[in-house]
Amino acid sequence: MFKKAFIEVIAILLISLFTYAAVSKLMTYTNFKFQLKRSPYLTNIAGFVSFLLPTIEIAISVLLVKRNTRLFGFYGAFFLMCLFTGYIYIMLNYSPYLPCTCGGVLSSMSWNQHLYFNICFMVLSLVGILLMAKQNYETYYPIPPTD
Amino acid sequence: MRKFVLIIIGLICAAIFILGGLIFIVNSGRNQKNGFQRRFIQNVFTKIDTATFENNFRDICGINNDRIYLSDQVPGRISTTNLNLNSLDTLYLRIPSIPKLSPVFYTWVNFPNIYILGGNLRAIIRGNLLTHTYETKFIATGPFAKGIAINHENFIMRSIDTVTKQSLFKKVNLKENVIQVEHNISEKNTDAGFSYDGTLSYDPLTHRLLYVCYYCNLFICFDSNLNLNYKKHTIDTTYSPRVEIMKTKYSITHELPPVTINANSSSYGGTLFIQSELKADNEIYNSIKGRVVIDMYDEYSGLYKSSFYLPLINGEKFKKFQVIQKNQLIAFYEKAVVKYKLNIQ
Repeated sequence: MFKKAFIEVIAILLISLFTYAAVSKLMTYTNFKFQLKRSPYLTNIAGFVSFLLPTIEIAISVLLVKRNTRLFGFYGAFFLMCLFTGYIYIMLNYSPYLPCTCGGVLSSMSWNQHLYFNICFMVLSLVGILLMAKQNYETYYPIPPTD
Repeated sequence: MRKFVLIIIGLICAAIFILGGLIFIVNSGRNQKNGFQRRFIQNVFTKIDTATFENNFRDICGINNDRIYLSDQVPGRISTTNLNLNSLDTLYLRIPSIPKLSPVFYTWVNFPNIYILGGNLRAIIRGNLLTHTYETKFIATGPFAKGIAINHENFIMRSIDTVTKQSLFKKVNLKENVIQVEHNISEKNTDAGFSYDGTLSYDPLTHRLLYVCYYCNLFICFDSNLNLNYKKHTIDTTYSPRVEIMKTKYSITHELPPVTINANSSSYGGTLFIQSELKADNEIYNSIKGRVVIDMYDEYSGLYKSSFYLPLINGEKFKKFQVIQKNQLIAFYEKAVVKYKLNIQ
């Protein structure tokens, strides 16, 4: 019961995060694309990423809503957060230039704060995966009653 | 459960692969040939003093006998240390509280006088560190991006004309209330000087000003009366700035990260020192990765002399350097400040 509730909470948090981030990017699409172009690692693929990223975020949110696709949503969220976290780490340590982070209220965070924020959600996604995995395991391989 | 763990590991590996690919593509451009070679001299410097200051210093804004004055991000605050860098005192200036002074301001100390040039404010604050008196003079010019105090009355700045969007050098004489505009110093521009943005330094011994472009190999020498001495090129082959400018109704900015060729410069005693970001054809990227290369040019002829490397300190990022006396160079890292003695003629 507690496990199910915790999974629901994690899903709600991730849905809120990705939906908010995607909508923020789409509402300020021109500025978002412009800031991506200013990243030394994304300059050449900024157009492609500016379209793909909010699309993936919305898709993950949809997957997380439905219970029978939630595990795939957690996988997607974990993968995306790994990418974001790795990208921020690279920017902080190897990039000569730090453009705006973008994403509504997330843009008020510093790059370091954003890194810790992403790590938290990466861990949450991972916890969601493991809890669902265990739940699925118990569903398919229930412990037989001992009579 | 094992299946899920394998999937998690696979996702992590996929993320690392994608990010690694991005880095590889960007880094693979760094070993390309740039069409020039450097001439290195050995044993160019000796490290004399090192200090770690918590403050985030911007510049050396003045030297007086045994004191070095340092400016930081706050216009009303300067720090002072001795020539051995083993003390630090912070001075809080009683300047008038004026909005828009920060962040575009330039501080100069010629003890006991202090000058703060406010770029967005379009004003010059002159003060006295002993009497703590300050006066603010607003100047009838556009906002300026670079500012140097030549003496108590004369100031040189790179000012932007808000109508034509041209960026030009101007000399302001506060006593006579005269603004002199340059003639044929700057490259023609209508992008507020973004393409030909650079560093401006003043050699107090030769009384020359040296302007080194960030994004191309141009450097310009002129005197304090805005007479052009020459326009020359650094040893690399970037003749045109590699920048893309975006103009909107209310702003002008870079559309893409600009490719910086010359990151920083300083001039003293007839030598121009330029921190270059480009690898020469006789250098290997991995060998220069942890070092900063400084190219030296003769100020009188504009000709290249030779180059040397400055090391990184404790893995800290190098910020900038300044040559303060004929044979001394001060390098600013993230926290460390290092003084080197230059063993050059």
